[in-house]
Amino acid sequence: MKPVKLSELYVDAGKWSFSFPPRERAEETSHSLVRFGVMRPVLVIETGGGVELVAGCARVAHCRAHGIDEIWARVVDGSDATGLWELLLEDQLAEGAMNIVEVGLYISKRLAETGESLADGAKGFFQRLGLSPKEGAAREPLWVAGLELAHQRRFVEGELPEAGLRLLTEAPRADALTILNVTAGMTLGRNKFIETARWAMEGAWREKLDVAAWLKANDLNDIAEGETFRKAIWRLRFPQLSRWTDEFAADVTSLKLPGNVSISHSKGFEGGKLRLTTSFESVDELRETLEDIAESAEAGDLSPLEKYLG
Amino acid sequence: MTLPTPPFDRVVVDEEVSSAPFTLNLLGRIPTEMAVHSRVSGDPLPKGRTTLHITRESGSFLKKCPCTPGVLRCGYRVFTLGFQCPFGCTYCFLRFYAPDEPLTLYANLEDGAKEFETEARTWQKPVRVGTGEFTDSLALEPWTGHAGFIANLIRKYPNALMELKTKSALIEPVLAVDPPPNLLVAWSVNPQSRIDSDELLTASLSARLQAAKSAADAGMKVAFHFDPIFIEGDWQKDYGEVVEAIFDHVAPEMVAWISLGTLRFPKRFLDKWGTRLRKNPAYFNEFVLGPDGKLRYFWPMRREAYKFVSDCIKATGGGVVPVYLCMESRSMWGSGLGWRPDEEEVEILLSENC
Repeated sequence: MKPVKLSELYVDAGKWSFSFPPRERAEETSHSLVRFGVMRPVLVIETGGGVELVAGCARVAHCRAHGIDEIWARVVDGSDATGLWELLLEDQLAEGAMNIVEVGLYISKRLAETGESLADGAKGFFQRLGLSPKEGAAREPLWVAGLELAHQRRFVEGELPEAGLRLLTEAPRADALTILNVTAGMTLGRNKFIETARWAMEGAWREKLDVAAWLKANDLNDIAEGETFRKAIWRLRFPQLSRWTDEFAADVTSLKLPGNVSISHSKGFEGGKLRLTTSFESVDELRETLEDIAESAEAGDLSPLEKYLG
Repeated sequence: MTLPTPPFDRVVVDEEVSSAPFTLNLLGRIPTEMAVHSRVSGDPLPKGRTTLHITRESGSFLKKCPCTPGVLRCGYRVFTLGFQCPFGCTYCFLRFYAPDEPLTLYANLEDGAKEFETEARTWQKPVRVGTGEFTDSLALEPWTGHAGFIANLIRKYPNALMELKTKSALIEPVLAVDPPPNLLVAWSVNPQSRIDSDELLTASLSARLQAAKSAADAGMKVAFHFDPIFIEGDWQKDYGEVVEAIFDHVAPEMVAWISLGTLRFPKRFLDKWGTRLRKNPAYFNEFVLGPDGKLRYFWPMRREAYKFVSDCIKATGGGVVPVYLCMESRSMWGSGLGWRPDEEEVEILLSENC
């Protein structure tokens, strides 16, 4: 351990840093540094030309921002690449569990620097990252880590779900990126995002198009509001079902049912049955309602419903 | 007899069944150069659909058809002599539930026979049984000799209506075992264009129908399964032509039953295979999630398909062939076939023409 002048410290965040905290956590860290100062030493390696920072970019940035010109550093062995990346992992995990972007960045940078393979990772450090000990476990973190920063940020902030990532990672990359790009800025919610993404891909694949071409062909590129976009996608994905849903609503309205009666269909019209619901405050009211409905049926007024039955 | 090239490239034999007659017979039929490995209890289970695993069935051979919740059952029983299928059709549930399982054959057939006989003795009315639920009944026949085993087993039990369900054209081994009248062979059928796209390793439609004709000409009852029906493109024309082709080859009186079932699969099937199926638009039609967790075509699409194909069968087959729905609700029976039977009535219907 030794104090290091910031002016003498070489920083290459692109090579070493894999920290990508959500904004709230980054702010907490920043407040903590303001209140208590740098409590944890940064990690450095000694190179022929000086001292290179390998862990603690945020701490160094804080010191620079506050006019502090010296920081405590722990000098670690830079000659053993694998051992060094183990230390970096240990240092990061001291801050808490890593998110998917951090896991992806760590794996990609570690493999690039050490020459290890995914199989080595699976046998070695994957479990410490919270992954199962299989090569395929790195697929989703690496995919997210390869996205542009704005999309990485959406995953880290919880706007996009990690649970549905498989759908995106297994799709053609162009289709997945189209969906990420077109939904940027929309408020959809995580489950609805996955549902919408699935419908968009399936809708496009149904017509043997990629998602971008499908969206363009259907003039869906200019919709900015999430729910409007989702409903438009649903209509395209389920053209007959959506048409039936619209027609059913119009047909029920046209029946001019008593105010205490409603008619609904099952999910997807499955079963060929409809449900009639009524409320009543007396047995007499119920009897009158049922008689009204029976008269309507006998007069053929309910015939618009027949196509939904059986 | 010259044996075809087997659809497996190695055999793994569990040590405990290595001297079973079934095992010895099978090993005598495979090419001499094929690798045969012995597996002792505790060794990892073999993987992959090009591996043939000969093992022991330690559970039941004979079970009620698992079917699916909330639908009208048909009283079918499954007699399971193997698991996994060499054909690998794109829509097959085995791709989802057992994508990496080896072709598995049970060598302790004498246990299966005992179990079957114990049950069959109690049957007071015809009971439909099939071996083609978890595998194709005849795809491995040149190596298994199952047809002979089955024929001898059911000969004493006329109430057992045994169905060998296949997409192969391997009828000669069945005809060679002096099939009893209660042994039927059934073919799953689809338009040739669908066979070309989704049933790649199976026999052509014309080969299947030619095999059915051979069976019927030899006096055997046959059956057909329109399952899965794909509601795609000019499907009415395509399926209408299949119906006509069936009755061009086989007289209606020789057809014991025909089942109809539209394409369906668990929602998770698309989660797992969706992106790999993206070149096949048929899997992205309007499927709606049913109460049993399976995706099926939107109700009116199925209703139309069942009405259309059953009407074709009635019109072309003269109304003598029993038609039933597979894995559908009583409501759909009513809507698609115009009849709302209970399970017992279905069982009676399907044994009438045998």
